Amino acid sequence: MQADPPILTVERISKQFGGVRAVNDVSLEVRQGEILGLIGPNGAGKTTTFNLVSGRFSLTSGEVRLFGRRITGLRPDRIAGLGIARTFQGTRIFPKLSVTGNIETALLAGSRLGFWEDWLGLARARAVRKSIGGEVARILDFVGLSEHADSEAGSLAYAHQSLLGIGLALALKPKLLLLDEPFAGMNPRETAEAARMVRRIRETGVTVLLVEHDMAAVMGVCDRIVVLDQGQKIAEGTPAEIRANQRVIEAYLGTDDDA
Amino acid sequence: MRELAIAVLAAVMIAAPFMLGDYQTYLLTLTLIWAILALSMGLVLGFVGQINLGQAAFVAICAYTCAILRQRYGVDFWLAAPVALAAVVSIAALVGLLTLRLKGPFFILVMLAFAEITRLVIANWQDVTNGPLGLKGIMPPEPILGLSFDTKRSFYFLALVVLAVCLLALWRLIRSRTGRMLVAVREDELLSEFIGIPVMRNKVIGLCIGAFVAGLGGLLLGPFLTILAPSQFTLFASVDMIVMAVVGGVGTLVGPVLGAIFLVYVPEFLSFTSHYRPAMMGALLIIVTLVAPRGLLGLADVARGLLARGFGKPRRESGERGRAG
Repeated sequence: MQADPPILTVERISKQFGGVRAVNDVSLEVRQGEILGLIGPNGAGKTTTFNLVSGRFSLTSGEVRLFGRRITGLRPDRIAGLGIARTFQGTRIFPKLSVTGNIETALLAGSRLGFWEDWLGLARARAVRKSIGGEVARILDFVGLSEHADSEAGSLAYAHQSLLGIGLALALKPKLLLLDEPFAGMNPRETAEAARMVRRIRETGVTVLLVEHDMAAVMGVCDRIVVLDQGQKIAEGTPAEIRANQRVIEAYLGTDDDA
Repeated sequence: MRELAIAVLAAVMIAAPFMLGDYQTYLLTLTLIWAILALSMGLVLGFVGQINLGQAAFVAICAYTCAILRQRYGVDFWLAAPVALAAVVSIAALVGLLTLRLKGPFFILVMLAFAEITRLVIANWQDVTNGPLGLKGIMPPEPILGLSFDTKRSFYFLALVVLAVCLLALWRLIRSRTGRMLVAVREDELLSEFIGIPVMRNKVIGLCIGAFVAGLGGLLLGPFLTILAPSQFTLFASVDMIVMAVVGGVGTLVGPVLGAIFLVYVPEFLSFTSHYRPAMMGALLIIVTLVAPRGLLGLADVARGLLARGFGKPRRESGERGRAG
């Protein structure tokens, strides 16, 4: 841990919505190459934390650093450009575009294709587009959607749309991937498959931070887990440690003042 | 098949002024200019996803800038035109930066205000614009490269070339990276932002390209009508462009052109007086939205589908040709 600086440092971040502190003084580190789970009961502030890291919301206080570089306050497209890709709860794709069109859009967005060379169809632009075509095929193969390449994205089954959402994020060639409830709405078989894919993503050198409700899946796939409750971090550790943690059990089962 | 259709169409368009009388050539030129304007609106509507009631102001700014430079300062058309285009694109960029953050009705209202302010400035800045009386006697563009434009026929060809170049340029544009980014932003701004697309920048670029094309139409409008007056650039001018784009088919390039043909010739045949025009436009917009939301092109697709039924597999469209709803 000392040798490798953390890929992402979240330092004492807070977010206030009106009178509500959705996230309160949360700090965490994501280490290079790990799969870190962010869990907690409903309203714990998991997704808000995601939105703060990816630039969707501005911070009330605190700081987020990527490879030691302060990214607080940057626009989402700039943060994406720096190497953080995210998916959305309930998945978010371009439903009217084809599956290929979706991935292509993300790849084109990240490409260094000049306006004029592309508009005029110069040789270099054609070469870039050709390599993008190859990458689309590679990504679709990776997420297992090759046979749906030409389908309209909105017509895919829900689990496939989730996979496409992950494919969209991978097309940004991120260093850190934020997955927001990747297993939601999946049956156990699909969940197991998706979990295997998360591990394969990590094997390609991408660090993963995931928010998840499905406890079994989280325990199975994560190296470390951070637990939030009511906007605050209440525990951090390996899955085994978390399972044994009294505060976590209380948060999930509810204490007497909840009853 | 497609190449053949384009070749035939080009041949017809080139032969047309030699077959037709002066009035029909005039009408056809008017159609071409409206087609350019409708195309500019179609771009904003279909690829930026905004209803722009200020489009007529862009046309007016470009038309007036060019005409004033020529009449008051004796600048050659071919020098005044790029200056006017640069002016209108700069103004569009400025207005876009201020307004494109606004969503839905707010953008529409602010652009409506922008259009009205522009019109009022033109109507009241008498020293420069000659106020409500307008600029008269706008001459055809000066000869260039051995071509002169002082006949109806030669001006028709100028308009034809401008439209053809616009179509080709925009056809390349919507297939380019920029075009794909515009479609992405139109479909889902939030998602676009998170896959690394600078949303505002793309919207402003889209509006600027729309203003550029609108400006090209404005450059032709002055010499074509020989007169420019603020009364030509009311809200209804923008509404006409919207109706043309919607009637033809939003999110396509051919649609606005079809819409322009339809809306120049149908009233002509029915001899509608201009008094009924706004009402007719409104009614048409309602009918099209209800009956054929994808416009004439959508109807053509449906007809082709019916004809082709049983004739092998239906033609699939590539995914990049997403249409706005």
